[in-house]
Amino acid sequence: MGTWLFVAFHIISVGFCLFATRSALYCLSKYQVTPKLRYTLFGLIEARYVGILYVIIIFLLAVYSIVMAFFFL
Amino acid sequence: MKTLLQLLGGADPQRNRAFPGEQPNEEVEFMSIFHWMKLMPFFLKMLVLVVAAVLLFTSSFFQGLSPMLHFSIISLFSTLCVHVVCFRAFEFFLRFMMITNYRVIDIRNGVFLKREMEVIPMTNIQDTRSQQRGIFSRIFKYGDLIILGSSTDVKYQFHYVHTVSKIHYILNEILQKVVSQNLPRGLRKNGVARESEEPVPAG
Repeated sequence: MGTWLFVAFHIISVGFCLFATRSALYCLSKYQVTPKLRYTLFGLIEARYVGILYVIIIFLLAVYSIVMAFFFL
Repeated sequence: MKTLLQLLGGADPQRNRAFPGEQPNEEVEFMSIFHWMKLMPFFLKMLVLVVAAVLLFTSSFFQGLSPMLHFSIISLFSTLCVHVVCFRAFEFFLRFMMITNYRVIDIRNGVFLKREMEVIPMTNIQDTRSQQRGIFSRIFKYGDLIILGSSTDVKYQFHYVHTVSKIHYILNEILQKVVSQNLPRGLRKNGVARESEEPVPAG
């Protein structure tokens, strides 16, 4: 039972991560930097990198944890 | 194709508006997120929390637990930490300021269910100030931008603004244009207010 709850937590975690990344990037994509705005870089590009990193880390953590949970069963 | 681009979070080059709610003839002069130093207090707190957790997980109390429970607690903690850090990073990217030729806009969006926009029209701005305090603000070139409203009580503060002196200059330049456009025609010269050569009739 505990193991299945653990697995469910990680599956929800991956879903949450994907939804949060998609939501943040979609929100940011509505604002576009015009060519003359060269003073500071607007956050869309950096947010993309954070999003990619976020999804990869959470996905790897989930896979590793689920595999280890079944190993302990 | 457009939907796919939007799903991936890419900007649409065909879109005419620079931001939602853009008015006709409105031009974006400046748009920026805030300085990354804004995240430092949060990261320091997280570092302290992680160090404390590592010390706790390596203590003799935790070593006595069953391997599955031990692994589960570490796994849940690390997953939650990654979520909190990335969520905070997204919140950081979704808060930004924008200066257009009509107004100053403070946008505070959130990942879920939060869309806030505060607008300060140029005509309501009485005065602007910029300040840099401390060694870090000088080294990393950030500071506070303070906008005083037409009423003395109204004060808008933007903390951790990138290259604050440059942004202060841009804002003053736009304000000068707005003031000169609002002057009577006799006091304008090439869009900039000039010294009155003819006395303005009283009343």
